Amino acid sequence: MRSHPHETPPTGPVKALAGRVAAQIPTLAIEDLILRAPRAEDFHAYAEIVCSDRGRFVGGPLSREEAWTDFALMTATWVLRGHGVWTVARGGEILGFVLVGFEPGDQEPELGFLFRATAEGTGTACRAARAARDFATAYELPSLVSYIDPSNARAQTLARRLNATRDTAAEMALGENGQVWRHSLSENA
Amino acid sequence: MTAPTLTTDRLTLQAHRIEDFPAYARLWASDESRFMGGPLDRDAAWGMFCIDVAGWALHGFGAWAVKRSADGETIGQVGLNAPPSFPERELGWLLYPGYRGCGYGCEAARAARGFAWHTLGWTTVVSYVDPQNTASIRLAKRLGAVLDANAARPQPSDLVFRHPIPETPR
Repeated sequence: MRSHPHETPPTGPVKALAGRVAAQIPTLAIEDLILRAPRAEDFHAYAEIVCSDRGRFVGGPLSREEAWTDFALMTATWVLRGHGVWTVARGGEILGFVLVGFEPGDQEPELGFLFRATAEGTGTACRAARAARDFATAYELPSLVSYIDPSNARAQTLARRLNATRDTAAEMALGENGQVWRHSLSENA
Repeated sequence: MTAPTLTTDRLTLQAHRIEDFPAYARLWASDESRFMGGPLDRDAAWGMFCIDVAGWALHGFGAWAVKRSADGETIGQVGLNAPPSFPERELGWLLYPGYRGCGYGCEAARAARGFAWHTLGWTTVVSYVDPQNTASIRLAKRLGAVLDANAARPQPSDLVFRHPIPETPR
């Protein structure tokens, strides 16, 4: 899929400004993993996930434009709400994305995770998601759930490993065919 | 993490906050947004708002909320925009009802354009305007922008105003 002009990373003076702005987003280091601010050049990895068959659990496959709006939504909440998406990387390699988000349709803050096929089965998503959940705990978010497609067995397994539990009342209230997994935000979760 | 704050004689351009969204959504829900691709429902307007905000982290430029310095009222938005549908970078503006006809749009747009020239180092920028949007056409002309018949545009009917090349700062 061809990339669009707006996806081109900034150059010149403005590159430094983007860097200063992004530097305000907290970086989390967990052993060999780093959760850092999203950058324009990370978008290709995001698009690879949601514009492919892997995106079917998050309303996809999305067009590249839809994916950009999604990417912007997750990034903008850093400014608007104080939480958002991190790019998960090991060395220079982007493994995926984890977020404490709050997007249209969400009833409360959401813990989300999107990883490339290469990161599957490595425990990476679990470690990154746990770090994001701990961030939500540290900043005393009132609640945190994961909205999961009923056919997304892998995400359900991950939610279970994070000790999240199904909230059927929230699922009823949502009125969609989706699962709501509620995370515990106590210090020793 | 914020857009840098810019001040003019009467206005303060500052980073959007979540409290600025309701007025933005109201404008996009109204018939007035037809010149900008609206009307949009609230969730779609949130997507636009987020693209405007996220630009600062992803590109190093984006939109500002425009406040009237005297009373702190949010009167509109001005932005340096690069959404997926635009062939090149754009200077855009919108003013909320009740704040038009006072020269605020011109004042805010000049400040944003100055930032593009002198801080970001841009050498060209356009404004896309619906041919029926007479107020914006007038504003583009006041800013010294001229029609560029050959430039690519988001919609075939859009007018493309190209802003004058900046003077060398003294």
